[in-house]
Amino acid sequence: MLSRTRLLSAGSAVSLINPNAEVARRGQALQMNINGAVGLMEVVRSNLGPKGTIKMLVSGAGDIKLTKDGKVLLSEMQIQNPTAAMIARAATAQDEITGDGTTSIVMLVGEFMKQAERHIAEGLHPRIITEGFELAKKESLKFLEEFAVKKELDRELLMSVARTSLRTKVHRALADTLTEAVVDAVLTIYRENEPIDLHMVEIMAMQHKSETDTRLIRGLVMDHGARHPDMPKRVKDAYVLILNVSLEYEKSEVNSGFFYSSAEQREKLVESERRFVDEKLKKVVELKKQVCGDSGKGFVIINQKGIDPLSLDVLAKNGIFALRRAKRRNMERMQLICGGIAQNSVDDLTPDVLGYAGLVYEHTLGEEKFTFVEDVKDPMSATILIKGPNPHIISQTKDAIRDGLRAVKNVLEDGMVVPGAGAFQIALHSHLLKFKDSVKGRVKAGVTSFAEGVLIIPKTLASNGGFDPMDVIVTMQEEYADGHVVGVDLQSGETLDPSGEGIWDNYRVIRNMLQNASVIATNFLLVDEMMRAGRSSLKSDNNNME
Amino acid sequence: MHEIVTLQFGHYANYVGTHFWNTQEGHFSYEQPNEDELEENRPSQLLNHDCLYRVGETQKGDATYTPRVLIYDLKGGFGSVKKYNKLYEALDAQAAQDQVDLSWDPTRMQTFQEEEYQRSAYQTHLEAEEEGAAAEEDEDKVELDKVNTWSDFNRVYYHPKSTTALSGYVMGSDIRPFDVFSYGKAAFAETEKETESYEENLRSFAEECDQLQGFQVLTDVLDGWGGFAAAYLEQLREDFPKTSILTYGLSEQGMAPGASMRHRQKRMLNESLAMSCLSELSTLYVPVQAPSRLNAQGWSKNLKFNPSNRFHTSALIAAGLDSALLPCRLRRGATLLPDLLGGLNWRNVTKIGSLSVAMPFPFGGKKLAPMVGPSSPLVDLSCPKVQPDDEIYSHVVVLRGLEAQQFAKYTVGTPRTPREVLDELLDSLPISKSLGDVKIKTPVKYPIPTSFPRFFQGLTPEGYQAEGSDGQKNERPDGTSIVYSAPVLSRLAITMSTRWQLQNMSESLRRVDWRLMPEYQGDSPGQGLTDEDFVEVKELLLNLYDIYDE
Repeated sequence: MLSRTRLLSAGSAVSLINPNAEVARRGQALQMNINGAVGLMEVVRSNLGPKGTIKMLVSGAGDIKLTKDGKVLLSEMQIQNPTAAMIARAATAQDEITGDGTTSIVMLVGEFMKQAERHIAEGLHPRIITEGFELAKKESLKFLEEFAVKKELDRELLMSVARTSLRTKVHRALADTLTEAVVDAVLTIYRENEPIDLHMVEIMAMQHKSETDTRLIRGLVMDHGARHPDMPKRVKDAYVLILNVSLEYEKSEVNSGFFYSSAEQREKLVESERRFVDEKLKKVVELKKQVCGDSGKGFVIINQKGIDPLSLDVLAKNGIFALRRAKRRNMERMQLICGGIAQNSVDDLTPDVLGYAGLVYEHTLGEEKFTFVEDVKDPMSATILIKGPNPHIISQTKDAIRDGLRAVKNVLEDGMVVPGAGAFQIALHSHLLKFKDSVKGRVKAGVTSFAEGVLIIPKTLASNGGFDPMDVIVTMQEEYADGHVVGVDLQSGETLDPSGEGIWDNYRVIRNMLQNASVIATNFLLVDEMMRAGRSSLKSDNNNME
Repeated sequence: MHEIVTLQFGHYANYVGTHFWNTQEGHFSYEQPNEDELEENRPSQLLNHDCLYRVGETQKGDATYTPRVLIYDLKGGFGSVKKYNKLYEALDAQAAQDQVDLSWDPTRMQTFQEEEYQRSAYQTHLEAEEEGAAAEEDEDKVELDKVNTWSDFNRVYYHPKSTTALSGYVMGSDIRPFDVFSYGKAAFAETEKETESYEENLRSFAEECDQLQGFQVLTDVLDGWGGFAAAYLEQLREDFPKTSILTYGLSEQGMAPGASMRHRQKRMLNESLAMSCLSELSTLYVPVQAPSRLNAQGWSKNLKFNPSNRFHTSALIAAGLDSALLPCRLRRGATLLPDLLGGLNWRNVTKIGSLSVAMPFPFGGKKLAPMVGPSSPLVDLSCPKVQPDDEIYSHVVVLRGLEAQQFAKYTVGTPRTPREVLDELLDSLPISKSLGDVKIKTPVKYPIPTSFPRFFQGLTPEGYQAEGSDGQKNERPDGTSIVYSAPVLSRLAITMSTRWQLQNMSESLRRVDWRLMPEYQGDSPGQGLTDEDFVEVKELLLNLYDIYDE
């Protein structure tokens, strides 16, 4: 929406229409955009790669957020520069699509513009540069197809990919414990040739004073427990009934309030409504008796709607463990975990709609209760359970897990991976320089800018690792010229073989990155006028003044 | 039991909400119980506090009692209110850094510190009190009028689940203002994806409730918040199809000087869209706007009220809200929310209500003020335009803080009993059908916390009109009265006057050229409002007009 209101190119007519508007033209406008883009790049630069810094964001009130993720950083920071804000929004949109690569996009946009600036200063029209960008982008995507590696999608490869992604988000030790949970979670829900719905992996957090631990539960963990003291806290060998049926006495609007002509009539109505609920309960209890009999088997109800105390009482008396107001999504997950079919009514209850769980138990932690549904047969959904000492660690872990899951899903869907640690960028740079010779005319300059621009990724990886970026790049380029695919080893500053080390990037992340970064940079380079309209806020400024 | 969950959407809604919750604290009584009194007769026992509050426990095992409320605001709107406050404190910054240092190389940590929010004098005083460095008695002396956000006068600790900042928008941002209904709808989806506040926090508050009475919703309607509330309530309606939802649509007075025609149109459009969407989704929708004009003979007789100060206007509204909800919270003889709202909307098609309040209810003077006419103490917060012959279909009148025998004073020279005097006074409020006539009298006073605007004049500490020199004795140097509690009368009604507002909206909408409002149509299909939606809204408002015009 910003582009609509502020980036008008209708020339000075704008200032005629709106005398309050401030207008910046040509070089000035371009300079503002380049400054904004480069400024933003400087902010996120230190994030990149496993050796990047972690950022602590402290809000005005003193709330803390820890992150190393570009997406989180950009959405938490209050960016005031309009160019930077737009780049941030465009880059975070990348995260939506692929789950990663936000920092890299911001870096690329900044660097592309910086490279272009040199040529523009020499008098080249931005349009020429952007045409070169377009050519380079197309060629890069073609090259990516060749460079990407088709590999067998075994667990080991997935572990490598997840590890590569996670190590850029959280510290090494934590990343390595998360890797397995993340890969196994995706493998649990993965069915060949079917789209992967990551929502079927529940991420549940427990704040625990002394424990830091993350593990995969092959089952479901819910953040609520039974609301009746007499319900069993631990049920073994249980039938699971998944319901979306209100077991509450509810007054409908029509017969409430003043329609009762007497207290007696009101009582009667209340009674009849109550009977209605009791009927439903009876059906549930009958089903329980039918399937469990005296076998000692358990019976568990997971209900998306409410269950009031009277109903809980009835269920408890019949030895049923019941949860109310389950998450909407858990209804789906529950079916995938226990089998069984969610019921919207109790009219057609048969044993076939029931699921099964070997163990259902409740766990209390402070004011919070958790219910674990475990020991299930062939679950198609799972829970990653995070235990952490405080909210920051938990939320950082959660963010990392989300990205890790995406990375694994991407590989399964792409069927190929790209050697990481800067290897692709080095190769691409060299490829584009060769490609440049086949391009005629001044457009070459754009291709060169693009080629130099992509080097910012390995350069930054190296400098964040504490090494001299030029040294590292030169070494890498020499080895690449000798026919080796090499990345940067952030432990030693030497080169390494990414495929040997298992450092793999997502194919689609790289593809989107190249595409988006060049589009964003192109858009900003072509802006030749910028205007700032009058205040757009609808509220008055000084509402509190006398 | 009989729980109510409150939802607050938007900055002004949170001003009102903050006054509301500050007052609740005044309803609790910490005083030593009087042995002679029956427990249930004690003032603090008249209300069932569990309606609005929940019992919890911190990680350290301390019991907590926090409001059952979800507060939504833009980033930067929370001022000094922390998500993890003293009650549920996480580690402070230094300790967090230490924690992280265990796992990260400390030299590789960068801190971005937003400018620390400048705490108000009042807030600083409250903090000093907790540390024993200041006295509670001095609260009244602390400067209070320079309020920048609602956190400046907030007295309450909220549960960490209670506060959620909207994704993508920053308070007062010129780059990306939150000023369009459709933005709000999209922002709900976005925020839910990031924070899962509905799925996690609302759901868990509702899950705790054994017998949920309903939801009380406060939302801003002049900007994007109306859209946010609409998207939220859509989801809520799916999960709670029959539960009562009482929604207050708050519009704040005052335009920026030099606001353009387009700004006006946007505000009006937002307000109309909120009215049509939210009244569909709610059991009762009450548009609320503080009065822009004073009436020194009538409602503002005892107030030094500034209509353009949101700290003042929100306090007046909060007094109305709290009193209107009082019947649902009485320990004995409660009228629960479904009954209250069902009774009001007995025609089943009138889902837009109006709220009036007399704050304070004038009592103690030589004569009782007439309830109708130009010097009525009641001020209508919903209908800017009221005609004397507008019919009132139903109402719930709540008079609080006075007992019948106190009216003995006004029986002198008449053969009537105090109760008759009181009843006669309340019965003078017009109503067209006795079917929808509900009056509730309760001795529960409206407590005035020290965070309340000091805008009373000519009152005793009990909030009665001061006679003679009593008033002066009770004055602060600036001439305002020190008041600890006040009698209040509120009236939630379904009235024909609503039609003026509907008419006004319909007419303004007719003048809007929808094609010139691309921002309402969303960035991508399915996100915004279509041409048909717009036409539908216009029709809906006209239909509603017809209903209220009968």
